[in-house]
Amino acid sequence: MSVQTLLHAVSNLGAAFLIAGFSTANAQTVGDTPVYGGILNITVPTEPVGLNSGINTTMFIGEVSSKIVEGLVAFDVNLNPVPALATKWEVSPDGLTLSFDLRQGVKWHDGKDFTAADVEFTLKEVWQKLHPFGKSAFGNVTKVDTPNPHKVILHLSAPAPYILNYINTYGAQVLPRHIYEGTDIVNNPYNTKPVGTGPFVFKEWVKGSHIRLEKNPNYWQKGQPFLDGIVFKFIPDSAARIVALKAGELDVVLGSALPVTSLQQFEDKSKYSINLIDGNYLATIAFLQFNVRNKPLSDVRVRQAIAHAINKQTLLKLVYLGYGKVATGPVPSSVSKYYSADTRQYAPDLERAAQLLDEAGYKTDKSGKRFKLRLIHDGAGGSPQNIRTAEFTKQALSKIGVEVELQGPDFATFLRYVFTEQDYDMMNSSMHRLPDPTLGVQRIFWTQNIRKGVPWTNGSGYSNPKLDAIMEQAAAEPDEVRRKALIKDWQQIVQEDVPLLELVEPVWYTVSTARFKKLALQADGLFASYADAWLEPKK
Amino acid sequence: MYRIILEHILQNRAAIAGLLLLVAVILIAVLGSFYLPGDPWEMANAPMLWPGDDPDSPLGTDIMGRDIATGMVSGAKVSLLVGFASAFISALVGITFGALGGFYRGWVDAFLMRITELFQTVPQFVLAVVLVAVFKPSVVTAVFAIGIVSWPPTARLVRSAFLVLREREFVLAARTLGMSDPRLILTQLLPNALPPVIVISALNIATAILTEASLSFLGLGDPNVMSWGTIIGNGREQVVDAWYICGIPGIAILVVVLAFNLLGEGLNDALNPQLHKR
Repeated sequence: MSVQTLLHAVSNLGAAFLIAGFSTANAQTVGDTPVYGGILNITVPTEPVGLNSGINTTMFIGEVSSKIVEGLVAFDVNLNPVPALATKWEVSPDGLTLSFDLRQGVKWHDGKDFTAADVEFTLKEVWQKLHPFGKSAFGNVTKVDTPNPHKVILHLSAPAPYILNYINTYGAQVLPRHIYEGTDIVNNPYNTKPVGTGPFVFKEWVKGSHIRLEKNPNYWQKGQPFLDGIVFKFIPDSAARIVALKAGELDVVLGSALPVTSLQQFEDKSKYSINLIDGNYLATIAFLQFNVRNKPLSDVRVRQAIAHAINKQTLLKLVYLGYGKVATGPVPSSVSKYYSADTRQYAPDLERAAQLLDEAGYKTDKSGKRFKLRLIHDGAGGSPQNIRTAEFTKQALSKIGVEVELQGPDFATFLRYVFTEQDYDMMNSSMHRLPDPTLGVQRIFWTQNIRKGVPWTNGSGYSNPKLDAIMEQAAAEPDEVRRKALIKDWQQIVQEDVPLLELVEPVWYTVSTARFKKLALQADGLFASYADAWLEPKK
Repeated sequence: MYRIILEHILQNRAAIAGLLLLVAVILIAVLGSFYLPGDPWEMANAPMLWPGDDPDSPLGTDIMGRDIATGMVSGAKVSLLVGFASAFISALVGITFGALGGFYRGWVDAFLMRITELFQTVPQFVLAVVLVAVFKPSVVTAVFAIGIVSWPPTARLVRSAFLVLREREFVLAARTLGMSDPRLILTQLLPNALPPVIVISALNIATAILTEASLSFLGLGDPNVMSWGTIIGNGREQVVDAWYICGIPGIAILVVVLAFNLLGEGLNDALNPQLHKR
């Protein structure tokens, strides 16, 4: 209960809380006296389908492959890039060239040298062509120069300031050219037995059971990794994961793979630590999306009324047990560079909501009802949080005379209703917003991204030419200050029009034994290489 | 004849126990709505209250503060409705298939029995899950799906009864009198074939209630209706910290299924002429 109360209290303090409020949690997993040896047992929520993050951005793939294959940078706690395969990077004043100095003396796991040619190949053949977000992230790159084996220069058609927010192992994994060149990359057998430059070498994958990695003795960071190896165990049932962690068969449970209701069993800090910043990079927000094509949701006053009817604070407490914070807009607070809390907010206010609905012409009938809406969610078979959020929303809206019919079909049907047939009124889900609004947020509101049949595009059907112009300008604005101002306007417009009601920023939690330590925490800790991780000996 | 059956039932302790349990559950479902008229989805109290913690929520609350007692009353109605309605569908389809097959024999029988076998070879619960997932999950689709997967045993039973009965003298006599086929089936054969159908239907109700709870547990129940399976499904994450959320509806399901089983057993004893002498 103490963590909940703490979070509950702190979440009122505002934007700066994420880092400050969780510093106690940080202290537990960071150490400064590494111990060599030991095998780390990790579990992820679902067994991945492959191990190539370059072609598939499913989280579970990244959570495993990040230990084997690296990116150009990693991200620190504040989402600033720190060197990995690139040691230095520079953006030209006009924003049109981006150059990287690559680390020297790095070898692939099969003994070949890592060079600029690998980066050039991966950029052109994988990130630009096959990576789900890479297409837009590297869309402006027209030419790649490699003047020497340790330098890469990207030439851009227009400034793309967001690239630097995206070149870690999850967003832009560097693959070995000598293995992939001239092959069918998507079906290359090495996608399931990757060769990388990372601290751990792939050894075996027993489907349905585990993946085993061994220490890379030639890792470029001298003295690392500390661990002798890592075993990823796949345990489909979350209750079994709880037991395995308690029994010591697992050391780390990544990516919120335990039910949030079980966390109080791991509050004993002498035995377990709960890391709450590992997923900040993903910057996930759970939301309620409106289909603005349909009456009565086409009326902005109706959407605003619904916003006033939902108490996000209570939702956070009841459904997320306080693990997260109230969302204030489309850009999550963890993206601190661009986040603005200074936008229109909708305080819980049933009277104001009723007034807005009256103004919009939806008066109550004799039984106190105004109209009926369908609410579809992706919870069935997925996150129980989304089901509960939908149930919460139904209750909240009944208080302003809006009757809600819940629909919880299977995932494929859900996607079809929302994005293909567009036959829905409201939708509950969550989406990763990523460290840069142009990449992660624009897709939800951009008119050009109303794409029938493509999941996770602009599904609300919201179209605002003024906002389109601002978003397009922000995408190509090299000046940080001007870009921030544009993104602030963007947040204000969205909060005014509420095509989506942003509800809660859920926290990704990693639960581990207290013996598990790292030299530094990372905002992309779900995709950390664990070169700097170790297990303290059992007491 | 039915007075005799009733007497037999009343002499059977198992059947009486089943009947009493059943009456109790029906009373809870009916009277409960008067005492606890609230919306079972209403987040009425503090979350995770244990039974007895707060007199306002005598059976405690779930993870979102919803009153379990109110949910139990709502669940009793859903369970009974689904149980009776889907057993009725299954009896209707089963009797139709069995009666036509057993009466006409020949290619009609062969055709109808191949369809029956088709349904028998697919695992019942899997088929129900698929049917509910294909259509929108709701009470109506659940009733329909459970009814559709559970009729084959009834059809088999009715068919074998018809095969025996159609050769009996009284049927031959009726036929000689010029009775039409439909009339023969409905007035002569069916009443004599009905007793085992009543028994199997009572057991079908029990299975249907279990199946509905399983569907809701898997999240395939009607998302707008609180049933016992829904409460269990919602509570399964907290089963270590708060077993009562799963426990209370679990016990309720046990009691109702037991009631119908006892009743079915009792009916079987009462309706089976071979067992009367025991």
